[in-house]
Amino acid sequence: MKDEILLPQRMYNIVKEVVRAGKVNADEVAKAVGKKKEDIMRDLAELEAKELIKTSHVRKFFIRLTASGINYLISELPEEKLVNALQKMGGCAGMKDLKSEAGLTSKEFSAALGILRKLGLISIARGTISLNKENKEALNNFQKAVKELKENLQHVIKGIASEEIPKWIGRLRHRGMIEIEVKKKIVVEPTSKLIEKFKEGKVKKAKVITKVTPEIIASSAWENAIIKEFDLGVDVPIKKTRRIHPYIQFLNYVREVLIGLGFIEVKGPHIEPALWNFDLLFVPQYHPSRRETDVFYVRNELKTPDQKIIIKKVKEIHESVLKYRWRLKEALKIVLRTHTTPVSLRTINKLGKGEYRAFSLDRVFRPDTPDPTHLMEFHQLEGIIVGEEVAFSNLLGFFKEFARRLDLGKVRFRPAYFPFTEPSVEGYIKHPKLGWIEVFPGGMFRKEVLKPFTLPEGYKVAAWGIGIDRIAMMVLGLDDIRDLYTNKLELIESLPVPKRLIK
Amino acid sequence: MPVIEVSVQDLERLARTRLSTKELFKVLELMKTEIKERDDDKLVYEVSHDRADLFSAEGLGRAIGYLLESRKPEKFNVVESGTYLDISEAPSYRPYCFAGIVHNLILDDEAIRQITQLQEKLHLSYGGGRELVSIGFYDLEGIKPPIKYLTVNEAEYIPLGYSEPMKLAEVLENTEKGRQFSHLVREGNYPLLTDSKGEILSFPPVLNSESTKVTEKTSDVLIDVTGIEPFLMIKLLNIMITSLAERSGKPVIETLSIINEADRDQPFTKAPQLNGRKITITTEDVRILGGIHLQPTLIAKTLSMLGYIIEEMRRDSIRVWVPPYRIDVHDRADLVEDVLIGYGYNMLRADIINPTHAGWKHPMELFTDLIRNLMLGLGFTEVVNFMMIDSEIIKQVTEEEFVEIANPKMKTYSAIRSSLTPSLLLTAKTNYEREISIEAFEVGDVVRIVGNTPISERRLGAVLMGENYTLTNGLVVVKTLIKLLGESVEWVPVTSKPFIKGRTASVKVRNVEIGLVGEVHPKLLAELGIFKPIVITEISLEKLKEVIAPSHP
Repeated sequence: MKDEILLPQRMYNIVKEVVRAGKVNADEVAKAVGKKKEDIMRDLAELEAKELIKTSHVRKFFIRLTASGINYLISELPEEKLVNALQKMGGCAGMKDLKSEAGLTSKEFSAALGILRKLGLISIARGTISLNKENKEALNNFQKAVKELKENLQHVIKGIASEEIPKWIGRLRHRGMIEIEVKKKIVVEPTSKLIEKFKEGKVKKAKVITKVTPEIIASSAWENAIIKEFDLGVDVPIKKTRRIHPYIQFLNYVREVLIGLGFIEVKGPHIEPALWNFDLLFVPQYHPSRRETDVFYVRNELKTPDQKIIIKKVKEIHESVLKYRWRLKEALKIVLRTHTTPVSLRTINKLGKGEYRAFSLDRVFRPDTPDPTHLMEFHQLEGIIVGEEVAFSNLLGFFKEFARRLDLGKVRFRPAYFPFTEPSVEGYIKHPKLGWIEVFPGGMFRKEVLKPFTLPEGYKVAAWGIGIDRIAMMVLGLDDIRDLYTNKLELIESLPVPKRLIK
Repeated sequence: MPVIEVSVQDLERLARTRLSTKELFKVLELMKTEIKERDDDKLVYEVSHDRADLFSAEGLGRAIGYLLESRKPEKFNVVESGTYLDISEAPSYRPYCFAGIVHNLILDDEAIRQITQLQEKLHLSYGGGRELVSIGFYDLEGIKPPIKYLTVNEAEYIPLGYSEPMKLAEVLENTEKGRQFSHLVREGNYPLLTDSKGEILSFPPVLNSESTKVTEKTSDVLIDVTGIEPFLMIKLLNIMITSLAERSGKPVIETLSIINEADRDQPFTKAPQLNGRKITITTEDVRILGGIHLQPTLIAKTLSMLGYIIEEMRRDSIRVWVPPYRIDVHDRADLVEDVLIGYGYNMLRADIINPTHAGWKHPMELFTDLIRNLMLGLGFTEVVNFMMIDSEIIKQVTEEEFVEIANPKMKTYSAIRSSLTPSLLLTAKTNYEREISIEAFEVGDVVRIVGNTPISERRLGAVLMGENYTLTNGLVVVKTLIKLLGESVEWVPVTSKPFIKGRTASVKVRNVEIGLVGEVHPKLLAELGIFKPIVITEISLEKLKEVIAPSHP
């Protein structure tokens, strides 16, 4: 079985014809299998690749008389006409008169003149042409040449098909007496392998399978069949995709980056008393960031856990450092957290002294009017690095490393102000459209912020709260921040995975 | 953050140097300001809240002058005026008032515009919209000190910008400022600022008088602050006085003593308080907090360029005088920041410390990932919705109390969702027109009120919308999900908004109710304009996790 050659129906027919005919034109093969030549070209190429046939390209020339060639043959050649006319005019004549008497075109006339002069039958002097009647040898040669030419024309009269152009043709062609048509032919011949296999009956017709079915698999039909090749040029549709939300995918990537840098993830409440959102962060109660235009306050009468000790400490800090009358009522107002910095405070409150890093990646709320770059609710990537040796320069180092891991390019730093950090910084990265944009706000927690907690003196905290959505937009290639929080399935299912996340 | 408009020419005059645009950008960056607009002579910048001294051209010009070393920091020439301010009859609800005088001023149109801008920005940023502190300034020429801050039942004067006298009650009713600030005064107990002849300077915190208006001809100005926070008032008065002093070649500042015969605590006996403070900073402070070792000479030079006066230099420490207008400077940390700013944040070696411990994902996020992967495998696409939502939509799905916002900006974001169901209904609505059917899920947070306390909770919600969906499809999803978690599920028929009675099931795992599955009631669907059945399931991931893998106490 192994040495059998399976061929689809048409290829089988082709090799059968080639074996029968031996060396044969492709046209004839096509005719024999009832196809056009173009239709079998691919088959021929494949059969040749299988070493069953050999093809060669042959040029064939078809040589025919032109109208003037026929004309010269049945009447006279231009040189004959010229000699006859010259004789008639007494063996000597002017150019113009002679041309007119001979009835020749300019081209014929000059060709005839050239030939005759070369033979020495005529001579030209000062515009006068004279016949050299005495030169018998020339006359003889002339008659011989005419005879030869006419015999050649006679030879072509039925047309000649040849694989090369005979040498004598050149002159006739030059004088416009014949025309040559070139035809390319493909000649096919069987290889000895084909002839041998064919004789042994080992070349067989195979079935073409367009789709593999359970029956085909089970019946071994595929053994004697050929599985049809697919045309990859034909476009295919997109599959309906069920997909993780691209924004969530990005946030989880950010989590991986932070975990890789040794941060533990922490969480905290969305609803906070102003005490945690502002007062503990050394934000004076008269600070504009606490106004109703900047914070969502909660309407419900909600309870907050008893926090007497912390309240006492906060009151003392505000009144001794900021020197104003601190009001408990203001601190107990319930707000939607405007940042996740309270989560960092709660982490310090819980973990106390030690070397640790924590981050939180959750939602915060601010009364901005939603537009392509603002939302009332967005994600903040909050974090702290706690330790005795932690300095401001390490915070800058963190921003640079974070930017490097997210492929955000160069980071520039500018001084900034946050009530709870000193020194404070704002880090900028370069946005392809918007130029330098602020993305990395942070600083070292003030001692007034750490005082109410059980963190001994000497411990320092580098803290930051990144508005991760701007970075998410950049990475996901979105121009509208609202698209991050989208519930439109069409958009979710069509967004590609961002290149920056593929490392 | 306050946005300030100044004239560059005026700024150059105050800085005593020419300023190229490039230089301006460079120095403003060091002052926590950001240029918003530069148009010919006009410069608009945003300045951070803490640098109240930069809320006008005077302070900014002064700071630029120090930084470019065209000026040297100097202390203020303060003398006692010999006169006083009597606050014995001050209203009990706004008991404090301080005032000071600046002499030898040369004012022009721009100078008056700047001092007015400073006053307004301070009111907004620090004065609590004049509630805590209200600032006024007057041409001293027509005023006969001593000054009196007192309470009156009624009075009459020509308010600033008017030509006819008005009664105080009329001012509150008929002027724009009156209407704006009437809530800060009590009827029949109006605060008033007068001179010794009884001439009215001002009806604070509402409106000054026309007769004491400061003009380009004014050379001596009285500035007052009234309000309820004395320390804040003194700070703002200091900034006003020191800024105005920039408008003089040879400024003389006079203090006014405070006379107070009422039995009330009074932290200051005179104002303004321009002595400044002294703080000592060490090279170690800079190293520990900043992470860089700098030579004391470099620290001193930097601080001097930022307006501090070096009082004493030691081998490892420097004692500096902090100008009284730097109300943002509390302690050494603030000086360290200024040293680092002067040195250049971008010049610091920014190193991250190698982690000493392993990091990890929050357990609830890990569990969320697990559930998310199973839901994707079940053929659902993940959606994201806001936690803020229209309170009306929540009311349609629950009877329980939920967090409502007291000051919503838009009705569509007037509450915090207590369940994912409203978000899933919005998801269905968003996609209704475009999709024949949807299978989507969200894993997100909700806030429930439990015993008057708000509790954040992570939940899973899934929505199926399409002509052929029934409760069965929802049950199939939940059953499969729970089975994949190695548990089995039990259904308990319940009634619950917004589902059809008899087509709602409570999901029970190990005898604990963890969520619901239900077909949304056609009445609600019709109201939402959705004419296809919807099945929703919502499961508390906190409860589910607790049931499957109880946390160890």
